[in-house]
Amino acid sequence: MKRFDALKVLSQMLREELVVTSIAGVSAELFHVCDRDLNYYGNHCMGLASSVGLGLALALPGRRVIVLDGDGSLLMNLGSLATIANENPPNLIEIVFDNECYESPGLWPTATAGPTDLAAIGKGAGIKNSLTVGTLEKFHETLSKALAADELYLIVAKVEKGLAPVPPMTIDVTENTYRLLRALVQRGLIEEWRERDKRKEMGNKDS
Amino acid sequence: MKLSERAAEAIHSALKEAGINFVVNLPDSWMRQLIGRLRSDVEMSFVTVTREEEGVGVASGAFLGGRRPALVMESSGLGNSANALSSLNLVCKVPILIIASYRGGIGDNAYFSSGTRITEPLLTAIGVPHLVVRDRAEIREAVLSSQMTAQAQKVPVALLLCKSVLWEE
Repeated sequence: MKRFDALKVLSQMLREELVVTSIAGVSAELFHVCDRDLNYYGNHCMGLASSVGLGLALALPGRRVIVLDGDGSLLMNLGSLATIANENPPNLIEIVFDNECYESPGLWPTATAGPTDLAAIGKGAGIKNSLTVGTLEKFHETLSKALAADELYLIVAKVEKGLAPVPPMTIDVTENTYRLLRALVQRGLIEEWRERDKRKEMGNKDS
Repeated sequence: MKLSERAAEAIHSALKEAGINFVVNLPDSWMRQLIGRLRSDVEMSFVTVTREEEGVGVASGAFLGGRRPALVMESSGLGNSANALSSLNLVCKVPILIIASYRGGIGDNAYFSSGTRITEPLLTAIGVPHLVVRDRAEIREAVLSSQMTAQAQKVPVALLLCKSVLWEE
């Protein structure tokens, strides 16, 4: 299946979930397919999508968090699977679009092009619901199950190599941070983040 | 000399006063008592990570989700986190407070720890504001003003706690 088509399937299923992406292809494609104020595009730092997703899921236990990771990105931060398994947040779904390559620099193979099996690593890390899907139908079926369940899921979606011909993203990473925060404030999920120095004993009378 | 229980207590209460409610940690030797206190504190979420860089991600996600995070680690972890701090926290303006035991200084017998030779130049090079704390009496003010700066300026701030803070006679 193509990652772009899987994202279209995903976008039909999204309601109020927070979505965190990894770097590069998945980010640009998701932006084109469905940009929304609950998306956080991870173009800042390869490898941290799973960890940012965990932090969000733990901070907002009443909200579903979906991470759209890549194989190269997750391989950079395999330890995060152990941490995620131990924290076991029921509201986190880690989806890995595994195209078995480092796409942006020229489709060079990653470890998953060889014997490395990310779902097996996830199971070994302790994530009970770790599985691999290879078709759009299976992707849809598994994601439906995960969205209906109250359990941690790792879904490794094997996808074809290649970036869909999408236009460049028109959101800045800094803008994205504050758009997400503002969206969460507006939904009453987090407090307004601006704060005054509340230390009256230091002589600040205006707090 | 022994690890200072008073320092652990002072850091813990300063973190609470600063509103910290989400701790991300990779355990280090000099902050054993602090870690114990933070783990037992029911008002604080506590996540142990496998690498400090991973901790930067978790703490940043927690901030986005409305929590007030602190990343507790040894100063060597700042090297492990350098790119994440400069690309995620500094560029995307995600504030987190970092509490680091400052290893490798005069009086630290860990010969492999080059901490003090590289930590401050590294933090300066990547643009992370930082404060060296040398006296236990400075803890409360250091924590409160660092958290305030992080929140107001939208930057990560690293507090480097010297042996003179974390150890006592």
